[in-house]
Amino acid sequence: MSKKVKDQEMSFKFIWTPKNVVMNILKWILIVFFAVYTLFPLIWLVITSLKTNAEYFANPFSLPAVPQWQNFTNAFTQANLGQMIWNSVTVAFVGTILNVVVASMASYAISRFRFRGREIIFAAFSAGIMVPLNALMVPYFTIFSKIGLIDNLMSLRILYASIGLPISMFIIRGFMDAFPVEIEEAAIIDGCGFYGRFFRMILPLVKSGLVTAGTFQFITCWNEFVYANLLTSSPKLKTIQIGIRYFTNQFTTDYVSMYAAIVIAIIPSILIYAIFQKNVITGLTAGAVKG
Amino acid sequence: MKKSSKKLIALISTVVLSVGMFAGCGSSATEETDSSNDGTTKEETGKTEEIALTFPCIWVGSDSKAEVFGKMVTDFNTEYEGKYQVNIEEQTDYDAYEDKIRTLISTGTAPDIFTVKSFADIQLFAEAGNLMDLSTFFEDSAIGDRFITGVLDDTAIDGKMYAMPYENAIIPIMYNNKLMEAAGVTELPGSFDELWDACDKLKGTGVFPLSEMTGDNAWTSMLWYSYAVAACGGADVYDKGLEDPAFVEAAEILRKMFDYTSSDAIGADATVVNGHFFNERSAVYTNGTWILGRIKSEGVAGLYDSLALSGGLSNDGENGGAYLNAVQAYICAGKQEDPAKEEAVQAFMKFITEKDKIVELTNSSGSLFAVSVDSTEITNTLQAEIVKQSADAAFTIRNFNAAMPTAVGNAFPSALEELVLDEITPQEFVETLQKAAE
Amino acid sequence: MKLRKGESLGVILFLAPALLLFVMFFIYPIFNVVGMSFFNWNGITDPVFSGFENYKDIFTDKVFIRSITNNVIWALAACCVQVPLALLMALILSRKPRFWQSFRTIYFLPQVISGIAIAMLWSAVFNSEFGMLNGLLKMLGLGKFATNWLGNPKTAFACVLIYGLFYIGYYMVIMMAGITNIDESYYEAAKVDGASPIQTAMHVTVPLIRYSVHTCITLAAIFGLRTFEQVYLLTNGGPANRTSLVVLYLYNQMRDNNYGGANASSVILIVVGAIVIVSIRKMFKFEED
Repeated sequence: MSKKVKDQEMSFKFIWTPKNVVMNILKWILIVFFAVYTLFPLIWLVITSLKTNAEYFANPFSLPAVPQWQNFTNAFTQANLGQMIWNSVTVAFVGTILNVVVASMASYAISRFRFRGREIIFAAFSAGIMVPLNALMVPYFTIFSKIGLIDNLMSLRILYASIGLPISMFIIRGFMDAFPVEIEEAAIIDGCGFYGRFFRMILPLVKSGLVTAGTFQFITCWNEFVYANLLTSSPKLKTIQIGIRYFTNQFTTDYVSMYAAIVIAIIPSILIYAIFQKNVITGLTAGAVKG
Repeated sequence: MKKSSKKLIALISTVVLSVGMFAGCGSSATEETDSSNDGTTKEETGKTEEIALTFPCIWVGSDSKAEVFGKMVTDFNTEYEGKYQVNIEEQTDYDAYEDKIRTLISTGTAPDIFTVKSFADIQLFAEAGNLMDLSTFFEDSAIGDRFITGVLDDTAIDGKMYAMPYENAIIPIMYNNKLMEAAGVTELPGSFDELWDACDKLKGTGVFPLSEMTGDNAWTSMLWYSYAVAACGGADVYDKGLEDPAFVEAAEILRKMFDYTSSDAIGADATVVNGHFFNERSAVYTNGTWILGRIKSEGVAGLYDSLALSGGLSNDGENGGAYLNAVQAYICAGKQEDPAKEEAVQAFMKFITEKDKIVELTNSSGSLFAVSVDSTEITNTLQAEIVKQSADAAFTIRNFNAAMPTAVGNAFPSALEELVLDEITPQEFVETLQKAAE
Repeated sequence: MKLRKGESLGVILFLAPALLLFVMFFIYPIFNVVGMSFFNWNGITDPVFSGFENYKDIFTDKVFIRSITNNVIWALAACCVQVPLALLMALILSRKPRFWQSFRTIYFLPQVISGIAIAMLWSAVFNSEFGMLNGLLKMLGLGKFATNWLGNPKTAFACVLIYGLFYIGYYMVIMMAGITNIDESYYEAAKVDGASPIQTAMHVTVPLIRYSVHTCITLAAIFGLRTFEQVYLLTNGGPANRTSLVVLYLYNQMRDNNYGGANASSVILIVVGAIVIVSIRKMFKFEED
């Protein structure tokens, strides 16, 4: 893939007009500005996680005199991050798959078919994005204690899949809407049924939308803390976000260990993001044609 | 044929997907629940039934009490093996912990043992009938005598005990003697007027005299306000209520303190304030004894050894020498139907208030407790001095947040910001707090 | 598309799981919230019916008015600055400049990093004593502009709002995914017509990803209306409530044991959100089928 991209870059003939040069410089200023701006937090985080707390208090922007690699081993062993990462991985994967499957089915029904109440249903779903979820601790706790899933990771999987539904449906429907109905009508003439069109036609077409919604959903699952803390109590079932907060107590916070834990915690999500997004590239054709 | 079978598979998979996620729960529920936490089912096959107690505990992780308190719990479980078992659930983020306790209480599933920092919350939970009545437990003089005089009476609600006072916050004013001497201040201030003199001199040497903050719960500034309130209104100022003019007078003092603090005080959180004092950017500071350990490990070299401590300052020659002293963690127990479980909870409470255990906890953590220990048994000299100073103080008084309803403490930071920005007068500052109290 | 014979069953089956979860985790709790918004309730003891008292209290509270104003400004800024910037960068990156895949990952990084770390960083940047921003100003000889950025009522809200506007990764990813779905033939046609890259972007790409743009604008507006985490971590609403937001206001009510008020704030938030969502959809004038 990367080779192919390179070939395209090579074949593209750059014409040295003043306008093109200025545009090119502008483009690269933007690209570099955003790269520096968005990399800044990560770089700061990594540097700070290698300092001592005393150094951090003295100056948050200084470099560590001696890199404190043990902050990472401390974070990993003290907070038992290994188990927590594994729990988060299973929660996030199941929560994401469940979410995307349910959301794409519902989006298909709403996006492609006219039936009474569909816009009302969709508006209701969308309004769900507005719900301040942290105000629902009592009802959510009640639901899960009634179905007997307190202190069970399945409660988090179901909850995360559900609370992410409005956003996922919103995104996926947006992608489905972008395809004109005519494509499907052609398939109907070819004798393709409801399920066939969904699985063989629409899903592959909106793959990039599914991946996008899935990426966001994964990160939502990965970063959720309030309900992970509320609905589980056994040490074995703690998730990574609880691990990050292992170093913040009522009156004291061990900042450097916390930052080390945060650095560890973001590695899996960056990996997932990169892997997911790699799948989207295949469809990207805009760069293939340059003017 | 081919088409319809595909359709069927699609249909089945849809149904399976939607049904399966619920059907799947039952089986995985058993495999994923931490069985060690489920004492009752585990012991069903055993000889006697072991009673398991749940305890969402905040003294874990990097908390200074974590190590010794954790050991205490392990020791309890060993001593009562086969009979009682306390299962610690680690709770580190305090806000999330409070949310969880509140949710558990309002859904009627209060944990067996938990801690509460605000007395107002205990009153609320007790009113709703969620807490175990511990009155008979404390009637036993062997238990009651363990505690510092008066602390149990302060905890009683309509003559009944719903909580056990445990951790105490005793808060001195801390001075960086090195910076004070460099500024030519040779004696610790005894009154607010002397403090202002010292502040002027300190300011001249280019350090921030005071450490103020308005971020989070405005902790250090709230403590300064408490000292000012004590100086203006005396020992029984909180009984007189927020209508007392002492609160307005104290607000004027607090306002003036912000003239002597760092430029980042508005919005500063504990990190900022600690950073200034730990790095000798500020000279006068106030916080609980638990911070001593961190001053030693995270402060610049020599800071710890140049600390000088004192109690409150006087105002117009009155009410000097107060000491802030308040319970900051009560141990509560959820209401139990089973008397055996009540016994288990009380056995645990008895266990963790034994004097030698408290001494060990005190010495290891820098914290102080509502259980009375001899100041000679405290190995850390500064901590021992604070205990002594507090015992010899003209009077002790709770800090403002501990004495007020939760909503007042919550309203304090933003009211303080308005005061410091001169958007409201000290009178209006107190009125804002009164409004929150309603 | 009109429903064909036998397809209603499919539609129902496809909607069922989502509806089931939605009823469980949204409708049922929201009914609770709406109901309790008419009660005076501390979250623990028995609630007392109080009619529209909670709503009256909220609308006469100047902190709430400030909060909702702040949220509206936030939503507008996200729609008018953040989304256009994201669109611009999506257009640039989709033309596959060198290392574009790395840039796409880098731009997304702030979404992945825990909000606590980002907030701690920016509070250090804005700090008046050792902060980077004041340091930079002094270096440039602009020391007179140095201030306590997050503690100054004039600058605090702008600071908490602006730094996040340049974290464009979220919306950029949605729009880049939209661009991947554009058929190559459109570009071939544009090329034949001799369109410049900018013309191609404006007349081919942007109209073809209007659904993705709609998604982004709506999400930006909604996120703007319900945002609170970065403010909670940076200023907690201060100084003097200048940076207060509705959800933060709502949490503070919960912390004050005023659950009736918190629920009333939730209801207002959901209603405002629903109106905004429907209005934006109307604005885009999508043809129905």
